[in-house]
Amino acid sequence: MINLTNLRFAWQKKDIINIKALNINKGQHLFIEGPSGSGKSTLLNLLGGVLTPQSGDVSILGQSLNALSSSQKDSFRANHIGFIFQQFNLIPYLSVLDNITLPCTFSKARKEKALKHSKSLNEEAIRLLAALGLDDSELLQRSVNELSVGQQQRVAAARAMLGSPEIIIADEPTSALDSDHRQGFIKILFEECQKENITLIFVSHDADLKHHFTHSINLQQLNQVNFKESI
Amino acid sequence: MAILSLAFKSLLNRKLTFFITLFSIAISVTLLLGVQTLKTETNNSFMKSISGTDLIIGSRGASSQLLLSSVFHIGNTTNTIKYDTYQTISKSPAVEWAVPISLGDSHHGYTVMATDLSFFDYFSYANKQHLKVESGKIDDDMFAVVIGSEVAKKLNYKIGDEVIVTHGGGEIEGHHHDNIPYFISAILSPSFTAIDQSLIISLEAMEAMHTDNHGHFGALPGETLLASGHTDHDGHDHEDVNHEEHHDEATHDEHDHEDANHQEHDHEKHHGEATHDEHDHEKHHGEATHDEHDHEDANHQEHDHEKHNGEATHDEHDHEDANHQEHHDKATNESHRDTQEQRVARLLKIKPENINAIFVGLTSPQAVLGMQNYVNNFQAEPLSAIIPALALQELWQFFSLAEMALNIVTVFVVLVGLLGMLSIILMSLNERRREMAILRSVGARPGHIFGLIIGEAGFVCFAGIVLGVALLYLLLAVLQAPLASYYGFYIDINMLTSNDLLILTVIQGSALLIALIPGWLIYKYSLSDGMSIKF
Repeated sequence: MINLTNLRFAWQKKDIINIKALNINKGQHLFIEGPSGSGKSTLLNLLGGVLTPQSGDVSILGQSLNALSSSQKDSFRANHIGFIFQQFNLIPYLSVLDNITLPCTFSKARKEKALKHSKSLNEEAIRLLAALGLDDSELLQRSVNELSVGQQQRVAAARAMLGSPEIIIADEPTSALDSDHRQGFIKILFEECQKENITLIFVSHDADLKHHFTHSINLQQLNQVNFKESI
Repeated sequence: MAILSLAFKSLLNRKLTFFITLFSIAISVTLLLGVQTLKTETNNSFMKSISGTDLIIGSRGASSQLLLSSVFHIGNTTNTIKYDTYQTISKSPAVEWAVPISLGDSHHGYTVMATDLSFFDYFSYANKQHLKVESGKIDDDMFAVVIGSEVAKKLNYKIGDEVIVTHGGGEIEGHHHDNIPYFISAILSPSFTAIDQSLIISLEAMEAMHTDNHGHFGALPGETLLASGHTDHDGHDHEDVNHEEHHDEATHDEHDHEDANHQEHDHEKHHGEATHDEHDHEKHHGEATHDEHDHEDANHQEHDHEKHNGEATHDEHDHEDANHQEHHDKATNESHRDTQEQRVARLLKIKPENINAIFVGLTSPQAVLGMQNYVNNFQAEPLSAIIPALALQELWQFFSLAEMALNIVTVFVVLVGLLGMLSIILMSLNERRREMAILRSVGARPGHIFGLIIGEAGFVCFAGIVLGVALLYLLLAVLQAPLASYYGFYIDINMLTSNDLLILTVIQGSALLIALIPGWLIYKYSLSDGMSIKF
């Protein structure tokens, strides 16, 4: 359901991404191993349709991103992909619930899907939080900056899952967590993705996490850009 | 709309910078509108200083000087014109009324203006409003003084108080005419013109002070001398002596007799019957006492009748006698007794020789230019005539440079406020690139991010404007009373004018325009950063 073909992207005349082919199936949990500098964040931006490749195409759910205008790509992303980042995933001036329901501001489709699960967006957000092990209602009153990193990451996961997008892209979501929390977080994430039949793309430089996943790819091998040459 | 609510929440999150920016804009808006209000109100009160007067005539010289001295009581008034000139001009067929004005003395820094009673009938300000009496009564006595509201308030004067006038404008310098005290007969209501800060006396009294000996007519040896001094006067003087003989408070009666002279003289000046009647009333202050004496003195009664134009008025007066007597005794007789010099001054029947200006009302507006021409080519002495409305405009032009400077300063203050906002937004951009990346990841377009910044600037500026306007009205409401009472400057609190609204729109527009800079920057960042969090 995600197909990359002859994808090339260069920034300021330097090749960063050159991927012949990559196919990810629906419901797959894919681990992409990539140290920093391997073009990881560029790849994620390409998948999200934020960056446009110089050549080649990204097709998601049968939709070629090249065929979309940039604003169409923005709403496509909002409708179908949830993102979890490494750290500081949350907007500091929004409440926990506002942070979780933020994608619905930009995606009607996800709003509608979320409302299929629950009566209101906030209710759905609370349901997801509970599923992710955050069922303390006192937590909701707190500013997002007062949450622990582990709690913040789970709030971010709830946001990525709200409105059941087909794909979740997690970029180093556990690197700020200690090993206990890391295991717990991945476990919960897997469970929820399984339940919702969400395709999970998990990007990390930490090869130790590889064993959790059925599929894994090493970005340095996949990406044919010779970084030593270009640097 | 969602973006605007985000912008609003984002602002609330950064309360400190938000409120600092908001206040700096609010203060600049208050200042700008305040200056506008002050300008309009100053202009208004300036233009309202005189109305209904078609021409002001003075000695030849700068028109602004004549205007400043005669209307605003500012500056030296060394140039005089002859009283005869006034009489000639007042008889001119085009002239409906003419009021002589004489300046140059002061009382505790307040201008003393000498004129005659017709001043109160003809002088008007603002929308042809006449001066109103707050308390007391305009007295036709030679040494009666009518004081402006501010003089009364500041010096805490009451009806019947005595005042002494200083020659020259200063508060300290100059010759004190302490041999000629005045009694306050009336206090005027505030008019927010120079009259509020003025004392109005009779021309004769002014002249008396300015005779060669400054009104020091010499002490009188006694009543005999006084009587003999009167021999060249006819009629009245007999009674004066008589009254003094049989009445303790005869001094007052003397006023009235002298008033008669004075009055007769005034009547010559007045053309209208209405004023004539009014004067009769005023004369009547002393009639109560007169009537008492009348029984003893047939002559006197006859004389009184001569003074009164008709029996009807006389009768009417009699009804009021009791009142008058009470008031008058209290106000004048007890508190004011003539000094001997005043008595002499009265008896000398001093006639004004020089005045400073003439306020003229014409029979028709068309006559203005012709009359001005006539005055400018006056044979007997060099004169100039100014049209107050025009001269006021011209004088106001004089201030336009200051007005312009003030405008420029306030515009820069607003600009500084907006630049403060710009720098605060720009400084926040870098730390907000993460926020932008998150927003992009959940589907925000670069346009949304741009809108977020513009929206924030718009909010801050709008809130600043609202607060600024509120602050302005608060200030005006708080300052209105003290400004009016301490500075005689009355600020009318009005709705924002269309000009004000235009200014506010321009400010709001400028804020949005200025926000294009950070907006464009963040747009560029969000395109290049995408969802990558850079920090």
